[in-house]
Amino acid sequence: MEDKTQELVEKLLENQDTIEKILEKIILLEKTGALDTLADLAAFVKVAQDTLSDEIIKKNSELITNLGLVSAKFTSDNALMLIDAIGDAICRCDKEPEPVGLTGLLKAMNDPDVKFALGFLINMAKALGRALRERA
Amino acid sequence: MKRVVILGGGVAGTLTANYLVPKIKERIKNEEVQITLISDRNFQIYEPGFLYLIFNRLGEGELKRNLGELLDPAVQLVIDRATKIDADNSRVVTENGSYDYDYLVIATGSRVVPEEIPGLKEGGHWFYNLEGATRLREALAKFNGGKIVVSVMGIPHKCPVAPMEVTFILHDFLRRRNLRDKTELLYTYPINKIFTMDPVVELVQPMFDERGIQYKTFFNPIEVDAKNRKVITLEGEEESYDLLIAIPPHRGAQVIIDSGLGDKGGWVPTDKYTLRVDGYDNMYALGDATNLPVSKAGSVAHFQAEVVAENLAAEIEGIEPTAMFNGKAFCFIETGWEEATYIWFDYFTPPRPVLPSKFVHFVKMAYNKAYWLTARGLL
Repeated sequence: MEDKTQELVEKLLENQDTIEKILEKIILLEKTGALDTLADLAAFVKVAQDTLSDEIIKKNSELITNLGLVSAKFTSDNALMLIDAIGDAICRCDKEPEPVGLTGLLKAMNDPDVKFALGFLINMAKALGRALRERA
Repeated sequence: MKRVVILGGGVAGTLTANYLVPKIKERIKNEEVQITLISDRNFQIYEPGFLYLIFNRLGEGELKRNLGELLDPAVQLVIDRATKIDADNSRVVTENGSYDYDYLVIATGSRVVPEEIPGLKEGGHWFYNLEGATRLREALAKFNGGKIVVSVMGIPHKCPVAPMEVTFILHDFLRRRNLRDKTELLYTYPINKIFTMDPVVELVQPMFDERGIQYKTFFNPIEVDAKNRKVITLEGEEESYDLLIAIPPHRGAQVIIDSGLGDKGGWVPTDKYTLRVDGYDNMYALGDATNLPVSKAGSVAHFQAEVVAENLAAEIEGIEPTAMFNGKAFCFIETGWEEATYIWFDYFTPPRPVLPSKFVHFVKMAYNKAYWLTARGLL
């Protein structure tokens, strides 16, 4: 027993500087109440460690990765411009829709704004076709 | 118009392209710069996944993604095999055409050459390419006890820590299948210690001892006697085996050798800080393709891609390139079926492994899926 105490004292003396630094930190944590929070956090981390599995990690990482890859394309300058314009269109389009037939459609095609949007859609169709062909 | 050609669609090539585009997007939009990436296949393989594939923990489908999905859409992707780099005329020749460049990025990676050890193809297994890994998966599923030798047959090789990882995972795999008592597990390494870095040796060697994993150093195989299932070494030793998992010798890409740009291993002589190819102002090399004294690992390619992209962007903008690579590498080390540690180090800092834990293993498992975000330049 005495040997063990001796060993412990030696270890403490050997690491005096380190132990003092650790003690200072622990005292500060206790005084601020952060130590309780850390203990709670440790319990939370332990629950995660005991309940997670490789399969859960794989599934969730895959989901987040796929969302990330898609979001990379939807945050390009062009995509942001389009999403912003669609947002404006939704906000501004407060008219009650009227039923439109073929004649109405042809008439609408004289509208410069509709013409511009159609031009955009045709460009989009071309780019989409190319992207689909590249993946075929 | 300035033309940047990136040769290779692995980690190094894809990341360089994806980091470069946002830095010069206005110039690409105004058609002042064109970035072309040439790859001999239209998909990328996440090679660290082979370590899991052999134990049936990840499938082939989970290790592949289309390059179109991974590359910034502003990059022109060409699927073709490069046959020659004509450095004097700044041109890459492919099987189906040729591409002139103002700047070339060599990201042609490395490959295993098991044929360089006589008998290895017939008598051994490896997990350093898809074909080898699927074959080993089958052999491991059928393994019923005996002697497994994990043997590093040449340095440098990809993912330096993988031989230790496969040994640790094997130990647990065999325990889970009630085969560990019936199996002798031997790890061999060519130099005088079980790994090149002392802090890693200090962690791993006692763990090998605790698990009854045997090891031999100064073990340099020169031949495999497939018929009698024996590994023969330069040092005059013979080691019998029932299942041989080799880390075969590695070489640089054929196009580097055919273009006279490599050293005798096919590695491109490269400046360790600027990543410029020695003797060429308009060529950079990164990833496994270089002759640098750094790990051939995805993380190294990742950190190098940041430097190459920054310097290329500077050159294109007419600014003096100042980014430097500091030799940084980051490696997870699986120390069992569900525990791992990690190390990071650079030219100036040695590695300091943390205690192995389940959490680090979970982070690695998550990264096996999330790697694609790295390739896209997001993580």
